[in-house]
Formats: sequence, C-alpha cells, structure tokens
Amino acid sequence: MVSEALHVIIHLANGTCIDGVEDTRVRSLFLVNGLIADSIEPTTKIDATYDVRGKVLMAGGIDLHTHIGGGKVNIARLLLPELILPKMEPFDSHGIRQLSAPVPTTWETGLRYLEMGYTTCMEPAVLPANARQAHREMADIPWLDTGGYLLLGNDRMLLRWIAEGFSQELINQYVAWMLKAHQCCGVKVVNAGGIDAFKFNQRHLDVDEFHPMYPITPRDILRVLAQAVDELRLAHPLHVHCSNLGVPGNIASTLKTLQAVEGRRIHLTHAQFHCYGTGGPHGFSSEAYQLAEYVNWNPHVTIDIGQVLFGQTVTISGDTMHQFENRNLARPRKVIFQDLECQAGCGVVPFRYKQDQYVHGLQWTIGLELCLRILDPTRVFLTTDHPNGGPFTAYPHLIRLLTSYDFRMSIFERLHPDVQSSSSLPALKREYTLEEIAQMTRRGPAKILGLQDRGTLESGKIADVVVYAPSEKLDTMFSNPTMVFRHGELVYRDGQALKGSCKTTIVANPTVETSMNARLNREWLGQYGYSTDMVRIIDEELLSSGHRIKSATPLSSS
Amino acid sequence: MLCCFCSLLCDRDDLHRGCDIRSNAMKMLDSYDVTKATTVLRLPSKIDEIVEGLKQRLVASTSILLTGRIYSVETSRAVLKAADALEASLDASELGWGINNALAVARNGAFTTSLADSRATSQTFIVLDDGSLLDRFPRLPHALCLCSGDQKDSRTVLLLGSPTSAAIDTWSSLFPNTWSVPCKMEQATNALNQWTSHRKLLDDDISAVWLANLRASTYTSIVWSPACLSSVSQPDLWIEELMDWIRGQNEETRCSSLTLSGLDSTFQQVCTWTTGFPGRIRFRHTHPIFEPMESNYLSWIKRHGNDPRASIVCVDESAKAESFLPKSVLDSFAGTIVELQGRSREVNHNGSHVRLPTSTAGYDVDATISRADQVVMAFVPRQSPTANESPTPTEWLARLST
Repeated sequence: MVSEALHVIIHLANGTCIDGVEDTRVRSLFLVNGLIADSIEPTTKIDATYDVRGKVLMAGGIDLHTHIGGGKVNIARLLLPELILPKMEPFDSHGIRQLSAPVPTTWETGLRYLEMGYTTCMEPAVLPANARQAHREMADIPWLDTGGYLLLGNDRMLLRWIAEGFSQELINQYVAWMLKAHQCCGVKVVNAGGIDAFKFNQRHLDVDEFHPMYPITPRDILRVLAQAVDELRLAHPLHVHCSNLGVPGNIASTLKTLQAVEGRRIHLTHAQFHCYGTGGPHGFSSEAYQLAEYVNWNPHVTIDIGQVLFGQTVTISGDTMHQFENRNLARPRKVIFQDLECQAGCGVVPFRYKQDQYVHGLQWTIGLELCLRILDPTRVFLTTDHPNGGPFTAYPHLIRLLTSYDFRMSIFERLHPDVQSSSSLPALKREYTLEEIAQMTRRGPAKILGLQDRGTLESGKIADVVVYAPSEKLDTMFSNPTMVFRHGELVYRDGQALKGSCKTTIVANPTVETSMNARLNREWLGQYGYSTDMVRIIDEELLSSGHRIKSATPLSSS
Repeated sequence: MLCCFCSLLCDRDDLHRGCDIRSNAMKMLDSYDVTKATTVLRLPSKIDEIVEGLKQRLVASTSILLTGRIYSVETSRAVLKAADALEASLDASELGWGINNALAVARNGAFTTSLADSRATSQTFIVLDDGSLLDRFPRLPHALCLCSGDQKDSRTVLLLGSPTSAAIDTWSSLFPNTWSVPCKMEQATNALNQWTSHRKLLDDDISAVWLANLRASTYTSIVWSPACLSSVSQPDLWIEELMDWIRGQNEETRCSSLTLSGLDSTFQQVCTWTTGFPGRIRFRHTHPIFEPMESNYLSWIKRHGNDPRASIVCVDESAKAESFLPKSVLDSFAGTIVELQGRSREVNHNGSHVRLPTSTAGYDVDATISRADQVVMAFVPRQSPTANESPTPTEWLARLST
C-alpha cells in the first residue's frame, strides 16, 4: 500500500517545537512526502497549511515496552470477559482515559495510543513459536508502527548450547537467525533460565544458581546474550527482565544482573519491580536510590520504569516462576499458566493495585523515584509495562506527576501512612521540563531502538508529528492532541480519528549465515518435533499484507 | 510440506504417511473437477446478478447469522468485518467445543502446555480419550514420541476413558509403558482426584506400577480435546474440574494440560483480539455483545428457522465432504441460506439456498492457521496442483457485505 502522504505537502506554521534536541522555539515545519523538512522551495505548491501558532509540536511518541500482541495478550483477554465495559466515562477520577478492558482490542489499542500522540510501539515479549500470531495481531492495530523483542534465554536449545560450550560465534549466528526468522528488532530475556527451571519444578533461581538440567547460571546466559547483541551490532541493548520479579530484597539480584553483562549495553525493563529492599515497617522497602545511582554512573545502562497505577489490571508475564508465586493474589481469583514450546512460558494473573495498601503505595513511589533520581532523561523511559503496572493511557497522568511536585504530593498524601513516613519521594523536588519529557518519550526511545528516522522534529525524520494545545494541566494536554500526523498524513484531528494509514513493522536485520538453516532445521526437528519452516516468517509474508518493513539502524552506523 | 487437514499441522513426511485424515482429504480434493464448480464464475453478468440479489436479501433480513468452518486468520478477519457491517450474529465454534473450553477458562483459569513442551518435558502422559481422539488427531502419539525408527519411548502413558483397541495398540507400539484404565469420560476427573488424594485406592500390582509412576512424575501432561466430551453432560464444568485438579498438582510438582483444539481455534484467536470475546457474539451499532448461549448457531437457527426474512451466511473453507449446516436446517430453514463452500459440494445459484464455490484454506490458497495447542501459528502455502478460480471467502464476503 502506498501512502497518500507520499504525494502531499503540509505546512505547519509557527508552532512551538519541542523535541529535546534543539532549544524550544517557534518555527514552521513542512511535511513533505511523509518526511519533515525545515523549508521548501518558495515555488512549491503546498497542499494544506495549518496555523499552529501557540500550539506545541512534538514528534510522535514511542513506547518501547507495552504488551500489545501475541498469545499471552490474547489469553488475558480470554480470561477476563466480565471486565469488558461496553460503556463508560471517557476519563476516570484521576483524569486517566479509561480502557474498555484491562487488555483492549487491537482497534482500541491503536485508537488510545493515537489519542495521546503515540505512533510507534514495541511488544516486548515475542515467543519465537508464537511470533507469527504476534505479528498478525499487531498488524490489526491501526495507526501504530510496531515491532517486537524476541524471547530468548529460556529456549532449551540455547541453554544446551551454552552448557555444552558452543562458541560465541555460533551463538551469535543463532541469535541472528532467530531474529531474522521471527522478524523481531531486539532480544529480550525474562528471568534467564528461570522459566525453564520452573518446568523442572524448581521454584527459585538466583543469578548465580545452577539450572536443574544444564550446568549453567542466569549470569552465564545474560553474559552470552549481551555479547551476542553487541557483536551483532544490534541497536537495541539486551532487554532484561531480571530474576526475582517483585520479591522483597531483589535489589541484590538486580545489581548482579547488571554486572553480569560485564559492561556491555543492557536495558533493564520495568525496573520498579526490581528494586526492592527488605527494610521498613513491613519488610518491604524502596531501593530506588541504589538502582538510580548505578544507572547514573553506568552509561551503558538504560531502564524503563514500569510505573504502577491504582485500580484493576491484569499482569501478564513470561516469568511463570514468579507469577506462580502471585497466584493467590489474583483478583478476580483465576489465573492462566502456560509452558510454551521449550522456549518460555506465560503467567496471567489479574490484579488490583490499591491506593491504601502499603506495598502498592510504595511501588507507586518507587517508579517515580527512579524517574526523578536518574539524571539523564534519554536513559529512563516512561512505561507502565502495560498492562502489568496499569494502562498505557496513564502516560499523560504520569507526565503531570513528573512535571509537577505539587500534583505528585497531592496523591502521595493519600497513600498508606507507613508509605508516607518511609518514602523519600517528598524530598525529590525535581520537576521534569517539556524538553525532558520529549527526550524520555520520543528521542531517547528512538535512540536505543536504532530508529534514526524518528523521535525528533529534525529535518529528514519521518513526519510523525503531534500538535498539542498547551495547558497548565499537562495530563489534559497530552491526552487531547489537536492533530496527529503519521508519515505526513493527518490521522487525528480535534478528537476524531481519521482514516488509518500505512503500517510498518520494525525489525533488526542482522546478517544470517545460510549454513544455519540446515543446522537449525535438524536441531528443530529434534527439540520441537517440526522443521523451521513451520515458524519462519519471510519478508514477503509481512509485505503481502500491505505492510512496510523498517530495519533498525545497526549500532556501527548510529 | 505442512498439512492443514487437522490442527496438528504436521510438517514431517513420516507423520503424513498413514494419516487417514490427510489421505482422504487429498484424494477428495485432488479428484474434484474444479471447472464444473466454477462454470458460473465464467459468466460475469450472471455472477453479478447473483451477488446483487443476495446483497438485497441480506440488507432486507431481519436477522443474519454468520457461521461455518472458518479456519484461517485471513477469512476470520473478513468474517468479523462482514458480521460488523451486516450487524449479524456470529458463531464459528463447531458443536461448541471451542467455546466450552473458552467459557471454562474464563470462569476458572487454566494450566496448559504446548505440544513441544509436552513432548520434551513430560515424564508421564495422561490421555483422556472417549474413543475419538485419534480419529481427530491420528498422528498425535507420533508427534509426542521422542524416539524414531525402531526405538521406543519409555515414558508412561495412561489412557483414561474408552479408547479403541486400535488406539491402545498405536500408543503401545510407540510407548511400551502404556496403561489403559477404562472409565466413562464423565468420571475421568473424579478418577484423577481419587488417584492423587486417596493413596490406598487401586493397590493391585498392575495399578501400583503406573500409579507410582504418576505420583513420582515431576511433569505430567494431561492430553485431551474438548471435542472428546460429547458424552459429558456439562463439558464446561468438567473442564473446570480438570483444571482444578491440575492446579492442585502444581502446588507440589508440575502438571499441565495439553488441550487440543480443532481448526476453528484460529477464528477464536482472531475474534478475541478483534472483539475481546472468543466467539458467539452479536454485532450491534457500536460494539459486539457476547452471547454464549443466544448466539450459539443451533439456538439461533431454532429461534429464526421459520422466519422467511432471516438469513444464514455459512462460510466453509474446510476439506470436509459434509455441509457444516445440519441437513434438517438445509431442508427446512424458511429464510435465505448462502453457503460459501470448498471443492467438496455441488454449486447451486438459484432460489433461497445458494451455494457458491470458494477456496479451501491451505489447499487452494495460502492460509495462516493455529496449531491445536493455539501456540504455534503456521503459514500454510497453497498445495493444490491445479488452480481454483473460485473467489476466496474474503472476496465473496467483501462483495456481499459492502
């Protein structure tokens, strides 16, 4: 499908441009054939001019960690039909746009992101065996470019190869082949080795503990995969969900995890769930300070926060080992657990975060603490780990929390008294600027995803441009854009979504040795009982549905 | 080559050999005279007239049901779009097997595994079979067996229910440590409870062996299909009981259900991500309404069977010879029936019961189809050596609903 925008020139006149690169200033942008231009030839015919004087212009938002496609997302929908609300107020009492269900349909997902000005989203846990479903499902999300991180590090074939001392070169080739075959743009590790260990009835696996079947530790797996990601020059660092998700005192294993990669690039995801101590009145305390300090002193580390919001949601994770520990906390009281194809697993546990509950209140403060303590906003990213911490529609609310100390405190004062007495949040007076918000939600994610074509308003970037009406209440501003352009095409205006536009699937494009095909086919038949042809997705298959494929820029040319 | 005639989606030559489902389907499809079915399509003005007539009838309908054997992602998307446009009721769960399982999962949760994990991780298989399991999935024992050639798999297989003697032989030939414990399917979950909770039961020598194996197993797969519960009075409650038992096992050891769905599970997946519900929905102005009972296609037909202004659109992209709709419905339904059907049946384009030729998923056209465990989604390229000029269901539905 060729976008109509390829033949359209749009003039956005006199907007206040904020992209976290240049200083904020009033200027005009031209959207020419789907790309941003600072200027055009005076004789060029302009198809449409919009006077955006007094409005704020930003690049399209990028969510680098949101569960929006694949089997686990769909079984969460299947588990909770009673939570689907056909009719509801558009916003809740906190001003957060409501979803019709904890995991909305594909169409609603696209619409709600569009309503915030987000145009690119990454599904962070694509099971290799289920990659085709994830891509098919994401293809049905309108208005978003999408991509996925491939789940490795619990795939038995890799564990065996590491245990048997296969060369790093061979493992690099395996990772490259897997990324290409499953059309993903990054590598994700969830509880390295732990999901597979749980299948052998091991209920706990720390960073330096041995797997029950293979004489290797999570540290070994992390080191090997981080090295593969670096040596393949993948733009996105190894995307890591640590051991000991949600366990009090897990800061120790989180720091060990960060050290395990031996200085290579690492992205620690939903970090809020991984920086707990055992102090405080309930044996559960914040160690956000320790993690933030580590990030501040180690430029190879990035994080996203996984902020918790109060209310009903559903947690979905590949980490069956730790989701199983939470089974009795399920509200409503039902869970789904899956062991998946000798590659990973899936645990779905519905959950209700309560404002007056000590642990939930402290989790809320920890996410904010991380954002406020980490100095570089291009290395800490706004996520709720949708739907695990809460809905992605809370981003405008979170932006207001980060930009307004008073607003933050107005909610803090309603938390459990022990949270108020033990949290250091009141001492953190920092207020994010709009430039920092642009860095945190646009420029920074684009940079670590290798998406050199987006994330700022510089000339030559793709014309994903959002026009916001400024407001003192930034949650109002960020949940009601005046206009959204995707690839230069006007797709949203004054509360109305317009026609859908072309879709792009973002992939890594590592070089794959052709000799791997035969080797992996043999291994596949032995391990999984079918050939690689069953799961391999060739480019033509994606392109046949009218999609475009965008390769993330490899590291060497970044 | 991927075979898409049952939802195991085998791609190994050794599995194709001896598979009755595949050989019967291929024989029937390969021998069918395509030109006969598509004669009508060669007359553009005639086909336009037929489509226009049907469109008018659908627009004038008081109620519309979209149903059938919908097996591919591509057709599922088209059916959902058409149902929305026509404000139709929609049910693609053949005899309710898939929906029973979905309802049980939605009420009570589940512990499941996939084919490869079951195959590679299990120490014990408990196979719940009403006698039809291997008719539906002929190569299941082979797909679960880790050995090839003359080697045997030493793991324990416990057949519970009423498997045929042929099924017992097949399992035994691959897994010598196979035990058969006859019982009614209705009682299967009770039996599981008894074995694990009352240790003194079944203490004869033979039972003691497999019971000891079962109790010592660190990973047990319960292999079953919702399609094998036809003799069970309350299938959804039976499934809940089974999942309760599995949940209890996981407190101490590992145990999961290998639930084998039919090819209609692909539709269930697409319907869930599109509407939030697994099927049996009625489209209204702004949103779909989940009606697990009312939108059951048999209930719908019962309610609207005498209404001359009601319409059924039945999409059948299977390789099955028999019509999806029961003969009694085809004979007596008072309204309009439009069947989009594969190579298996004669076309008919006159009167209020119209049968139009279409493609068979994975045979005439490429198709994306879920495997029985709903984890792997395979892309099955066209296999037919001869071209089928018939429009795909997607093309027909686009013409009929817009």
